[in-house]
Amino acid sequence: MPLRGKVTDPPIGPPVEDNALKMLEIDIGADESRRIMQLFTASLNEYCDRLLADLAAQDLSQTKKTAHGLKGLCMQFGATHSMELARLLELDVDNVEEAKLVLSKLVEEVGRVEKFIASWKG
Amino acid sequence: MAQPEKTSVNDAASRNLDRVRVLLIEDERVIREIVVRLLRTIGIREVTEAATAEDGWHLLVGQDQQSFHVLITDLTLPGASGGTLVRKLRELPSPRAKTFPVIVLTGSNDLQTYKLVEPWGISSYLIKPVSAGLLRAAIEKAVFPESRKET
Repeated sequence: MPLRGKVTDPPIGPPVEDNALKMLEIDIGADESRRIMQLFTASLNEYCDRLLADLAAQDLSQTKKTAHGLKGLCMQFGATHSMELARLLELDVDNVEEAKLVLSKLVEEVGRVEKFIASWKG
Repeated sequence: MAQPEKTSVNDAASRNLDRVRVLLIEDERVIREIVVRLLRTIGIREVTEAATAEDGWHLLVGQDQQSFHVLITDLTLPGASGGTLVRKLRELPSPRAKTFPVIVLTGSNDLQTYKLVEPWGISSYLIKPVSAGLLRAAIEKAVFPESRKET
């Protein structure tokens, strides 16, 4: 059965909205924002690990809960495509196989986010 | 429910936020850390953090009760939701519980979720991403409602 939502390719352009990072930097300073961004990327990977574990346990309900937390985190940092994939996992997947498909895209996107943030100069 | 002492933050002579005490309930630790930093940016020094609605409840009205001026809560939390906590708060007999300022901070940007909590008297409904400016406006509206009306 097809997903109600659509697993799209990542958009052309940065995986994180520059304005979101700039806003954070203005609000809390360059050093603190850099530290928080590192926490963010570490947390993204932890979420992916948790989602993998949820799906390995065939626990779709927990997968959706985990995805909700990830969605909020991505919203905060303007990681829009990651957020959209997390939203698909939370709201639109109906079974574990669909969720695995979305998660594979999400893992790729998290890699893009990590690279972008590592090279972000502010 | 604990009352803030008489030296209220509503003192017209001082509208800075350094005496405002915030209870923050958010299970996502990075978001929690960002919000605490943003609150400090706008001058709020006293922030008590909880990761679950149950822990927040104990701090707000229960066994670990402390005095706060405003609650900032996520909605989707492990165990009971932030919405359930707000509903329970409003159902308490104390007049203060009926009007205690609550700011919702959420990743749910759908009208359906908003309509679930709106009847419980939410001061502001903030959708992530949150910034220092948004938090300041929401807290001023919650804690200094009269001054917001004047301006």
